[in-house]
Amino acid sequence: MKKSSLIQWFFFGLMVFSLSSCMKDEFLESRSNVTIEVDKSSIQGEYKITNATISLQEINSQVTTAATLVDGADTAKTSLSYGTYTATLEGDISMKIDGTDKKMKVKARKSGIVVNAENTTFTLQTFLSDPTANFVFKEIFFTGTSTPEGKLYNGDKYFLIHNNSSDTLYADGLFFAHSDFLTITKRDYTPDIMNEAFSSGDIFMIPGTGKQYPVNPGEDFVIANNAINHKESNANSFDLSKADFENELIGTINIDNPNVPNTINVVGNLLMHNQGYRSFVMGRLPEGTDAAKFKQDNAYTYSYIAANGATMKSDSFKIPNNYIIDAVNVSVKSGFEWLVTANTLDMGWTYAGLVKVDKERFNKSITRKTIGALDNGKPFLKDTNNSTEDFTPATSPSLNK
Amino acid sequence: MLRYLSIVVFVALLFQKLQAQDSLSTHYQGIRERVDQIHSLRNNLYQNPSLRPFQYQYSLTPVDISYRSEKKDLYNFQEGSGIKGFRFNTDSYQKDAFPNITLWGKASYENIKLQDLKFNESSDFDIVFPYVTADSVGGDLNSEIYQFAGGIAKEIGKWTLAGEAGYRANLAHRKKDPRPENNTSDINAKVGASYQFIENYIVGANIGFNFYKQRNTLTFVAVTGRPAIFHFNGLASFNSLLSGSTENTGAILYESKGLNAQFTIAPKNENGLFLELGINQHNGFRTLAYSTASANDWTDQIFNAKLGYFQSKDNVRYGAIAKVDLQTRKGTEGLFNNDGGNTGYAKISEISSYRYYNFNYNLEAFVGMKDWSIKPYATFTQIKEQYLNPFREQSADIVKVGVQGQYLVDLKEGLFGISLNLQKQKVLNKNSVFNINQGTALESLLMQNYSYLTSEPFSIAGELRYDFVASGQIKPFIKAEGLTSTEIKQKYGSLTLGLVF
Repeated sequence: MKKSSLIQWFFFGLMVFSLSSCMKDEFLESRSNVTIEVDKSSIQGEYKITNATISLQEINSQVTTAATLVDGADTAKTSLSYGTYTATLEGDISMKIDGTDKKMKVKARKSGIVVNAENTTFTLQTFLSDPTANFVFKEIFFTGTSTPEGKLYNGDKYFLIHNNSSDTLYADGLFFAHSDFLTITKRDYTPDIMNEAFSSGDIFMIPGTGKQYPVNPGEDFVIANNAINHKESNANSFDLSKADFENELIGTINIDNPNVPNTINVVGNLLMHNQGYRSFVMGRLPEGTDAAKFKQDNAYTYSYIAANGATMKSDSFKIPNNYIIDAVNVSVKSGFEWLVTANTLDMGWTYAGLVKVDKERFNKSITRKTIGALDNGKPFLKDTNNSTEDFTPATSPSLNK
Repeated sequence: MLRYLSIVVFVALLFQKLQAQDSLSTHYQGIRERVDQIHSLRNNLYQNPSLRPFQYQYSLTPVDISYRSEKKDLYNFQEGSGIKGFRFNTDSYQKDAFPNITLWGKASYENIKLQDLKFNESSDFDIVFPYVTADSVGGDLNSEIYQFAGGIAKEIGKWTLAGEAGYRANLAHRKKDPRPENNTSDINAKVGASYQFIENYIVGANIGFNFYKQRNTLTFVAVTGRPAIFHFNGLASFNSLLSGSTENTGAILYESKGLNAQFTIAPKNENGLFLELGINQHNGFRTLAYSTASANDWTDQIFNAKLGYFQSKDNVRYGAIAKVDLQTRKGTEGLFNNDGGNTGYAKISEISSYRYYNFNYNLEAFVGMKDWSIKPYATFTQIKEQYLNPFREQSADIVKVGVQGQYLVDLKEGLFGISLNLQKQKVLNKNSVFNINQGTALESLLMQNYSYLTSEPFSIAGELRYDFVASGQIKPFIKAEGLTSTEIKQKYGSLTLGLVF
């Protein structure tokens, strides 16, 4: 072979290499046109959603893309590279509740959204979230039942407590109290501490180490007077043997179910007033304060002038308002005289009986209203700190099944 | 291990049987042919199996054992600070072992330690990169490498038909946390044919394939203190769904299949023009225990060309060779969805997210007499590595300039050789974009590897070799090598003791 032909081969080779020697290969990404439908059907009443943004995180790369839901719109559009996404929506919601605006958060979340086609559509189911949400009284059954013979029956009273937040909360250490003062009798108690504290002589507390009794978001727990099957002794009553806790009542009416943990009496024995003259609060003692220290620091002696002119004195305890996470003023429909909590705790009141000593009051509860759903689909309850608006009065006890 | 050593010895002895008794001068000629740098330069070009009969003039079977130790202060974390260990090796070449038949074979056993590896618990980094299993702890990796290869070429008139096959296994492990256990196997074969089309010139072509597998597991014994395990996708990026677990996640499997082809025009003797064009492509994939679908796929393509000229006139030898190697690796990564299915995560798409370019242009010239030679050389390397999202890139244009001199002299009782190599590396351009949180271990990995890539060491390397005849057929040799570099503070030394049959 002549050298010239070898050189031709060489140049042919160089040509091949020059074709391949490009260092600029473009990265090509597949993208999808994505339509996000926002389902607001769980939100009840009049509301307005603003500042709603949708965050779309690809789980393989953790790259996040943002989309905006235009105010008033039901869909949002964006473009996403192929992948598996977790979408989260968060926005402000202003709900018209009884004429006033309550500001909360509206949220939605969906995971495992596969985006690998030219067009992708998925739906986000919204739910409500109140950053201040905590445990609330969902239902208080304080009237008890009557026996077929027409006698009073107190053992089947209960509290139904609801976790209204989006977090798992712990019932351990929650205290419950009812008021010394009656909502049907307004008196001029001195010293007047109502703006700072709630007066009570009957307080009990949930036992526990701090994380012994978890309550999932949107779930409830029951505190029964006596956690037994009341049907066995009262055909008009119901089964409370599956209650989560039972109260330690005064000896003559206390029946202990050893399978159900007892609450701890901090002060007195709380036996709910069967006509609903006393208001209820629940809360937590601050860290470092146990029952003994609470009693030592919060003894409260009050006095009032009775109708006959005599000065009446009583020893009780005051629960600082900042210990309290929920309060419900309870009265009778036509007998209400005053709120026995600070307005900041509760601006309204509810009832089971229509009149004092209403013989129809038995087997009636007060029940908090539902206004939406949490992220897990469980109820989000109305909590505007106005029991008149938040509760449905004189309802059927939900545990009477 | 003894089993494999015995195979190495058996192969060596087999070839010794085939070899006729050589005269002493023939023996030293054969050694010169392999040790002399000008000869070596030319002979290394004759890798096409159908050119092997023209590679050497003399048959030889060295059997040797060597120990080497290397340490660098600045190094690529994923490749380690150096290798330490010993090797038992034989590499035989038998010209006209039978009429018109050339045989060659190789067997070796290595027991080495890859030192100070970090963010790479996989073996054979050059094959599987960047898709390695990684953790921030790392450590030394003990490796046993077994290698066997053999070939045959038959000359029929102006034609030569040839074939060769080889097998390599690498068993690697570490006996403290994290505990990788990597088993690899690599099978390759080539067939080729050449034809003498004019006097002194042969045209040849060969095609070959290789099949590679690696099984990589990573376990921990300690209950506490486990690092997160990453499955890298390039430039320290990783799939968040598949990485980060401290649990033992099962086996990681690598597989690749490759094809290669070369076309060569070469002189039959040591004078003339040499041309070679070649292509080597392999396609590989990695699967993780999370899914039966591949987590990564890659294609590696290397084009190469060599053009050289060799001449020997009036006892003066001179010539030059230009080489070009263009390597491009493109990788894709799977996107997965954990849908709770029985077959693990479902692969829903994949993206082409990784690019690696390594373009090498090398020019060597040489001139020498019988006993001495000098070889100036220059290499221009362009390296670029990119990852898509987050965008990361590192690139460098590197020049290496050096000169290697050798003096090879016949002594009364043997052959003595000394060589010295001086080399300076210079970075002409460099660039890095990492888009990574500062202060993280992964950032330090990228910064360290980039520092190593763009370092500018000056290195001095030397070699001494002495071949002699002890008595009759006992022809030992001893070889010592050393290297030291500035900046990366590389220290390398090796000692080889062997017998030549």
